[in-house]
Amino acid sequence: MPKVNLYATFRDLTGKSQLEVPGATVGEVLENLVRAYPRLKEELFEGEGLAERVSVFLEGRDVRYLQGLSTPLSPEATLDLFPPVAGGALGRTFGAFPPWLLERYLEEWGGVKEGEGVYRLPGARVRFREVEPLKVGSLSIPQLLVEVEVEGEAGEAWFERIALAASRGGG
Amino acid sequence: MLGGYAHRIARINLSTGQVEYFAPDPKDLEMYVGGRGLGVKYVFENGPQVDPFSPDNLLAIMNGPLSGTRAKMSGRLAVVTKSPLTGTVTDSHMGGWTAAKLKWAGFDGLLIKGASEKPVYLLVKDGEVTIHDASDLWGKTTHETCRILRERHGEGADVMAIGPAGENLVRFANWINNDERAAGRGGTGAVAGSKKLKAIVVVGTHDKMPQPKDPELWKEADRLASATINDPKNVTAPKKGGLSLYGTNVLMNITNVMGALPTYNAQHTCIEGAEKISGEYIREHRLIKDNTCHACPVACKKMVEVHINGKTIRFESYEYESAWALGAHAGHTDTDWTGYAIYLCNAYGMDTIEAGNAIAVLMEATEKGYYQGEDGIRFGDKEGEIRVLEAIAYRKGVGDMLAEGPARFAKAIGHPEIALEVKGQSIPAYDPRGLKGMGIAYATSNRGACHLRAYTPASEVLGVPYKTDPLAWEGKGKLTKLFQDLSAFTDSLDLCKFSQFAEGPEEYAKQLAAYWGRPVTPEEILRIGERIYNLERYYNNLAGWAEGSDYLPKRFLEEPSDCAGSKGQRTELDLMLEEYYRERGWEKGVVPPAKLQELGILSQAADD
Repeated sequence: MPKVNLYATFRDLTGKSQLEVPGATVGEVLENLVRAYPRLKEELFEGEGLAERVSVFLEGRDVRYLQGLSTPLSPEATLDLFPPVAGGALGRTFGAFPPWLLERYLEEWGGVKEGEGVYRLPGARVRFREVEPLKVGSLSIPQLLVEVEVEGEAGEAWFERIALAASRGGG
Repeated sequence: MLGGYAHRIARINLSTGQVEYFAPDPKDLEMYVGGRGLGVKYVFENGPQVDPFSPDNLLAIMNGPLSGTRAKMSGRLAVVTKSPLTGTVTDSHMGGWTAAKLKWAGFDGLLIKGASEKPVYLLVKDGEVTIHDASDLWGKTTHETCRILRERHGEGADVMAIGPAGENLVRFANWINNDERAAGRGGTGAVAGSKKLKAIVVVGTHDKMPQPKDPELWKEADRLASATINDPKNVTAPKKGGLSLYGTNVLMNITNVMGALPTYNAQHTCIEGAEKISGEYIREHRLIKDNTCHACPVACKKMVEVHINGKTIRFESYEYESAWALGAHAGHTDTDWTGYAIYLCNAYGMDTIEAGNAIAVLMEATEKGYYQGEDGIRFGDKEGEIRVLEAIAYRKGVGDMLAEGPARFAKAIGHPEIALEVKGQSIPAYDPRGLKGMGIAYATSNRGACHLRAYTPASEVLGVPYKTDPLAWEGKGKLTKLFQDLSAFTDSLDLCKFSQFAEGPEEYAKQLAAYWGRPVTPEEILRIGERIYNLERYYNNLAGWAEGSDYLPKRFLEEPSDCAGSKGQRTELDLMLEEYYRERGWEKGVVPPAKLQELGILSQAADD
């Protein structure tokens, strides 16, 4: 049965980070997901189509670039569902950016720890947690989901600052 | 005075034998840092109109402010000059200990001009550079030259040398040092050959290691950098992370599955049996030991053994790019013959990427009847490949034409379309139909097609710093600019590209601030990178690479990919270029004066 990884506010709406959902296409899996968690309906769909602001990935590829809701799924397939990042929170999953390093910078910038993975900064609250590492061939790259609750311009500036600190490349 | 430097650079004139010394201008150090950035500044000042093979061309051998320190992954040395392959400014970097020893010998760089009448080598020791006869070394391979000079000057001596390819002005000849690390691309070894410069011997000991200006900040900066490189979850983690275990060649199986591996001169985008030349296979079947560079815990270098016709050959550098170029691109995946070809390229002193492209272009030309000489070879002809590599190094037969570079060869036979080149330099091991970001990165690279100016697979494959769809073009222009600027800066420190898989602007800023002895911000780091990238582009514009110079081979734009993962894809270059130029503030590939002024390039050029 296909697996569905849920991120950010989708976890709050379902109380789960991963589910197994039956279906032979992306559309069938999402319909079955909505049947189990009706609050997801307006997040995922606009009419009969996939909501523009939501991101659904199959093996790292946005299904919009595949066959959309008709994209066939094998029983071993894994879908990643990301909520929209705009409207209340800015979020991004950063690769190779360890949580202890982000904590170190949040403290340096005057952040106050409110709980595990939650920091208060002037004008913003930052939440972060490790999610499933990205596995590609013999490589495994740790992934850190970071969300900044935006409270005006300060929140956006903090998000940019975190994104700059997380900038990496390679070669 | 900024810390981290020897504050001494030698100007060597090989025509007159004169050597002078000067302290680099502190303003130049703050604006261009060292390594690639400072080298580009000096090459720019030397004038963009110079003929690359003229004695007037400047060959700059540079280290950076963190070279020779305990900064992790700081073992890179930059060679900067005007490229005889492309006519652009070029920089190429080698690992090992040469950069560190150059600092310990008392230098931030060597600026070499002129041309000697007879072969010479330089000895760099105790703050002095002396010129020595190299007549007995001329004609020898890089391996022989390094061995002889180390015996002559002691095991503590570090040697970088050119081989027969450099002597014979093969336009993609390179430098190889005694650790078998190459400053591979752009033909910097041929520039040395034109000056009759066979080798540089550097003698230095670590008691001359520069100390940080702010020791307390250094402790913190080094602790953070070490912790993130060694973080067991990171790909850089010693003995655990994929890059440490398999080296660069961990990518072979990945790009093959993605349909992003150009094969048969990019007529296809994958190959049967890629596993046989992959990092995983080499580790299991051919690995002798993991080698490393100065101050590097990752140890991505792999000493291997291959077996050819009853002989065993031991060498380093079964790298991803080399294995692709001399294996998959040439239509085979033979573990031993590919390794042998890599070994020979290093011995002759030729860039494996360009050499592999030369072989692949000749193979396509032969199969299509575009080249009908008796020494033509077909895809998969491993022994023929070895013959042609030798013919290139010694400029024999078709090798003489190929030594001019695959782009010139293809043009000479009337089929420029089969050369997979940008600005005269051939592509590395990523097909831009399966990794769209590589398309814009190749097209806009200031040194011709290159994966190291902006390594978009970090994002498209590895999700670093964030995941992007490899088959989507949107956002790749912006991503490319970020990577180009970040790499221009790290190439100037000069730190290994792999450090970027674990470190970012915050960690680099802290380390540089501790050495410089003044605050450095992450924003300043990207600004410096942007300045260097724009200065290079300005140089190229003045050298004749103007509007329309950012192109891709037609094959990637018109012939769809034929392998799973990217089947049917072409590269949407025009759309990406539009986005990229907008991000850069360039006008069709040309840097406008306002941008040069904004970055302090034009006013400084005018001041000088």
